[in-house]
Amino acid sequence: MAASIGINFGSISCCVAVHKDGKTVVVANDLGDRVTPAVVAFTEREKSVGLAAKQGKIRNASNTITNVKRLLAKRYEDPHVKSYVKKSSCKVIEKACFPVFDVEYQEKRLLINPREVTTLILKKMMDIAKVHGGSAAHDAVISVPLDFSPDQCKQLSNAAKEAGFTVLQLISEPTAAVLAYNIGQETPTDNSTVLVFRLGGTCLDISIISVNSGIYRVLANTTDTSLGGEQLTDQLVEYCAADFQRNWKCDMRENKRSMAKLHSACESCKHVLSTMNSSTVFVESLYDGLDLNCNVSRARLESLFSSILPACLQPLQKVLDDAGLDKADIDKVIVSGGSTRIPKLQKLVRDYFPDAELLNTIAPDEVVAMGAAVQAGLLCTVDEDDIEENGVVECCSKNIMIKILDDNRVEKLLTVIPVNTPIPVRRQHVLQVGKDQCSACIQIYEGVSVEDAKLLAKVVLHNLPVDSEDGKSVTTILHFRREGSLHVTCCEKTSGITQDVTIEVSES
Amino acid sequence: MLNMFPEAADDDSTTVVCQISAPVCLKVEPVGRWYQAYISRRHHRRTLSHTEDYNSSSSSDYSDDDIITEDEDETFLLTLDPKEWKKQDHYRVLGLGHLRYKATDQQIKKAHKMKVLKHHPDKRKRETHVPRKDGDDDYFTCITKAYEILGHRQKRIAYDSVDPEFDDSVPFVNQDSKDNFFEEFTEVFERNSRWSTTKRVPKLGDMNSSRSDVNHFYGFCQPPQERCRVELTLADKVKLIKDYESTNLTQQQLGQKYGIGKSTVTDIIKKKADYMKQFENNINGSRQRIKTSSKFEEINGLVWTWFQQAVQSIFRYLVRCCRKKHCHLRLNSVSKLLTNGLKAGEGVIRLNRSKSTERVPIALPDRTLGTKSDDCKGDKVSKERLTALFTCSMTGEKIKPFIIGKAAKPRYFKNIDPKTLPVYWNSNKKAWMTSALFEEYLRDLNNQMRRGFNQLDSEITDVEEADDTEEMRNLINEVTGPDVQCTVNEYLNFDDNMPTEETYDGEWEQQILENFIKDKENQDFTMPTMTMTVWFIVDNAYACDPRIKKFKDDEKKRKEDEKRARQEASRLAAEEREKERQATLEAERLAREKEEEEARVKAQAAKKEKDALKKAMKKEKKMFRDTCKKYNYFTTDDAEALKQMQEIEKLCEKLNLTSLQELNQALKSGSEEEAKQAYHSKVQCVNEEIEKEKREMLQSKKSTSGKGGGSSSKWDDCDLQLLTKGVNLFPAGTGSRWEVIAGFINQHSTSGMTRNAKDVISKAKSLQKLDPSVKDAANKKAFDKFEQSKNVKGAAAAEAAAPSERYGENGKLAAASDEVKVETPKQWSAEEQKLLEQALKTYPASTAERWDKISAAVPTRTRKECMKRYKDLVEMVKAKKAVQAQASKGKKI
Repeated sequence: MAASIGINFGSISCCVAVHKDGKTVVVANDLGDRVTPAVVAFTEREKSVGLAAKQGKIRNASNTITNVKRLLAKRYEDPHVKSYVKKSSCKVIEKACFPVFDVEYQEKRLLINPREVTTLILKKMMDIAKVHGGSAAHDAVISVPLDFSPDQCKQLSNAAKEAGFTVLQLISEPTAAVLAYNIGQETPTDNSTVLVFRLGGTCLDISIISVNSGIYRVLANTTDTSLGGEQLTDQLVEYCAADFQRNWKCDMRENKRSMAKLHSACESCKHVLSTMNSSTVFVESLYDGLDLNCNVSRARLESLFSSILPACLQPLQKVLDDAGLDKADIDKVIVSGGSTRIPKLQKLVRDYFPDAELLNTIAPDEVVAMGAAVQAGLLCTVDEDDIEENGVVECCSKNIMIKILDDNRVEKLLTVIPVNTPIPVRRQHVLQVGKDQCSACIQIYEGVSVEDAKLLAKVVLHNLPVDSEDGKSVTTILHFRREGSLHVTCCEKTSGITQDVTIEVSES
Repeated sequence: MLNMFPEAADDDSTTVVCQISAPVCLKVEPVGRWYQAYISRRHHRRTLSHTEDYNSSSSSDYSDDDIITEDEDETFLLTLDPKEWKKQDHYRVLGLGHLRYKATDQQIKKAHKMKVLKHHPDKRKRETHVPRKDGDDDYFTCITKAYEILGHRQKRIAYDSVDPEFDDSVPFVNQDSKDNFFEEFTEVFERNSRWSTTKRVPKLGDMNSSRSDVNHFYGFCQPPQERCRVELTLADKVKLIKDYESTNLTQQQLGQKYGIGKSTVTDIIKKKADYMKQFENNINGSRQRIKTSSKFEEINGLVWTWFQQAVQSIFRYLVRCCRKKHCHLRLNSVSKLLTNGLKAGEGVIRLNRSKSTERVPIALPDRTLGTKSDDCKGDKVSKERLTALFTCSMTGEKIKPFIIGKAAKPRYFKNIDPKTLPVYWNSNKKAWMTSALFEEYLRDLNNQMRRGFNQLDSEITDVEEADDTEEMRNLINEVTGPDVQCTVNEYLNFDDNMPTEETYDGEWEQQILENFIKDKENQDFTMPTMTMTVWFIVDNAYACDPRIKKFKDDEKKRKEDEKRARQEASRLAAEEREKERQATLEAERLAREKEEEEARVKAQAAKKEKDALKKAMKKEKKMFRDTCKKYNYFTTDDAEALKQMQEIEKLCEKLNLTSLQELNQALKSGSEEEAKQAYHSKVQCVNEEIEKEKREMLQSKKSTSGKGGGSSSKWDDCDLQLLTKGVNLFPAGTGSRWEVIAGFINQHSTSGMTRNAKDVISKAKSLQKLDPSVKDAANKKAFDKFEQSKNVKGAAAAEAAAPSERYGENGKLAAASDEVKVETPKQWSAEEQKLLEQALKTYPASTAERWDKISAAVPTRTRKECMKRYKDLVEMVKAKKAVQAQASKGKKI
């Protein structure tokens, strides 16, 4: 059984997970890191991808390409590309309306477009995956942001194909995260609403996904590309630079190389402070032969982030409004993206959703890759004919409820098939019947809520045996058929009394 | 459970009150197993229960359906012998006999669970009617074993592959299977597709499958691709090298472009110099490789086949054994293997099956040799390593394999002397080949061969001399040893040594073949059968597939059609061209004819006209002459008349038709006097004209003769001197020499004229032309002149000469300056000329010392100069006269 691969292709870093023999594991790259920076560098001798390229950026900034994901299939006039060009250390030119990187490679000029850069990164991923999954591993599922356009998806899958993958599917990142936690996959009757809070390197992405009968549906989604881990690092860089200026009375902000050095030092410091209480940003000979030695505590870091982190929570209310839900409706919150490792942020999210369960057991920057690999493993086992990517399913339009009596003999409606459950579906409900009860009346209702419930049918069981010892139970099986009709079967096991009725679908 | 249904009233009955609202379509994320389940349900129009989760309560009906009834089950189970577990039908043990390989993992798991619940010895304590045995002897062990096999994915595949109920038959290539291709093969492929390690096995399809589908199918079924070997031709290699240099393709891209691996590209580029050299030496570009040596190819092939056979039969086994946990036990069997199994010199290393099957784990079809990175679940990978060297001669004679282990006498050779093994046993720490070992081996081999030759020689002669088959067989046995079984090839090789036709025995050969076949049967060839089977099927299918035939036919037809179309097109084009050519030729011919016609007509007309003109002219002339005669040539004097006759002739000659006509008219119309006048005026007119012509001619002559002087007149001597100086100062080869010289002259010139390079060149050329004639004279007179100019000439002359003296050391320069000076006498000013003329008149030729006097009269000139000038003038006048005479003479003629 060949292994299948799940890839999280991010703008800052990539992660590969392999599904093999029923297990899904995130695999480490050749340096032992589980996350590989999505950086490509060209030098006089070679091109490198990953950490080597990232570390070489200080020296070789003009030939180092970063953050390529969001450039895929974007036109040069696009405001995102414009801002990228302004910020990028690497030269970007326009060619046939699309941005193209202009780098020097082996002492020749090389024009390379974002898709080709993506191919290089994915090839690296391929190498990593092959070490663990065996050489036959090429079936892959790749994660994309929810707002990726079809063009972007196409370019990404083309790049993956060039890199040697067989792309089984492109999966959206929040869905992958939900899949990684296996929510709703064990038993199909589970219903829950999951909020995926993703703070990556360059964007904040919040989605609400409803899980109904094991099927995921995105209710609302918001993306903010102005927030991200890079911004947090910039705050720390600014702080350190100010500290440096205070100590040495010289401004090193103008020096690009010093800034690059400081940036990488601050980044690692930020990572350390997610687990430790204090850390030191130390850069030898940062500027003009002067060292930077700046002690940063976690509290200090949190105060630095105090303007940004609450801003990350801002969109939450909007998303909830979009989905038409309340805070309390969220059952589970998944954090993903490297920046959600920050304890303070996790605390903020937890406080925001006091009733929800915060899922963070899988490392936030690996969770998407895990989900993708789970999906890849699933797709490997099904026939090709059965893969269908446009996810349109027929669902019942209203809650199907039955009337019961609770402990206090008060009538109450109990939802058996919730709204938006894919059909066909079969649910059964077992209820006990009182010892002396000789008949039961099962009333089937439908409606959006309890208030506007409409009686559909009544199933009546007469002549139930009275003298049974164990207590009788009535099993109600509701079978929603594909064509839309509802078949209700009620039976009492001990006596074998059975009644069934079919409720036809209305024409309208 | 506290909740309950409300009670029904007595009059209540089951009713449907209203209809349910219609379902809606929603967009969902296409992930997760439930989505997949949903889709496949929809796809196959399956009911809900088909894929219902086994966990959920509704799956209870499995037990009814899938697991065989208890009675049969129990009786069967009781017959099982745990010792014979290998032979049992695992599926049947678990009650899945009717499902076999179709059983899902879930079903197996469930079936096992059920069996455990029912048949576990602890559970059966109560049930006394079923006999119980202790420990491993109980039939429950069989259930466990069955689950061990079927519950493990790979083991299950392995078991499935030897499943006795699996139809392993392969349809043969014959007319029948060709006719009923789809009936025959579809089922076979579906049966075999489950062995595929990659999912989504393409279907065979039917007659209407598209070509790409069929290709995909056969492509999929092909044996796992070693990438097919591509050998580039020399021309291609050179092209590749050029591509590499000119474009910035990476080596990988180049490899893709040429269909070869990257390392091959690297290799080619490395050997660039060689290839280019070969290419330049005009070695045929389509050559793929330049053969270095061919003499070992055969032997390489032989060893290779031997090695492959050996690997197939034994090495898997060795590796498997060595990897097992209980190394010691296994290695013991290795020792058995080495002592009994490996037979040297027999062509095929044979595995002694009877003694080792117990330990042979089931060989898996999807595995080759175990490699280091393979995991070894539950076991420990042994570090045991054996290196084997196979050697054979070119005739196919094989030498004992050379095996290198880790120890000189390993534990598993406990009671065996390694020297008695049918292999050469040697050892070193890492169990790999070293140069020392190899050398030792070679030395041994050498010695052995030296000995062997002598022996073999005599023995072969013995065999040749033998005339009885029985005797010969014995001899062969002696030569080769009793145990040795040779491959047919070797026997047949030996056949070559057979002495004569008479001794050749058909029966004998048959026996050999039988032996060989038996041999083959004994050998452990179960290993590759599975994959082999699939390949056989695919090969057969490919041979029988009517679609392939169709495609081929189509292709052929298409090609033929194309060819025909091409031929047709080329034929048409040729015809067209021919037609065009004809047309143009015709047109040309017509045009030419027309032209000729026109020209002829024109010529005729012109001739006519000319004739007419001539006639008219003649007539007019005659008339004129007659008229003149009539008037008696306007004179009375005979001499005068003669002269007039001459004049008349001249007029006739000179006048054209119209003026002659006019004249005639004038002569005719008027009286004699008038005619005379007209005639005379005309004569005068004509004479004047002639005069004028002559003058013009003279003038043009003069102007042509004066032209050279004209241009040269622009050059005064000073400039000329400068020119010569410049020419010598800037010898040929100076950059833009003539410009420089012109600049030099302009700078130093006093004449105020500016000269360009062209002037300078033309002047220098003319000077050069003059050179030979002038030079001699100049050389002769140089000194005199110099003297004279010094004495007689004024200061100016002296001054002019001075620079030449300055450069006098250079003889040539001096000569050149003299040349320039020779021309100076020509420069006579008008005043001087006048004075000279006057002097000439005053002193006639008879005067004594005439020239001294003349020169005195012309103050600026010497006597010699005057003399020269005079001579020149005389010559000029003479020339003029001669020209005039000639001109007049020419006119008269």
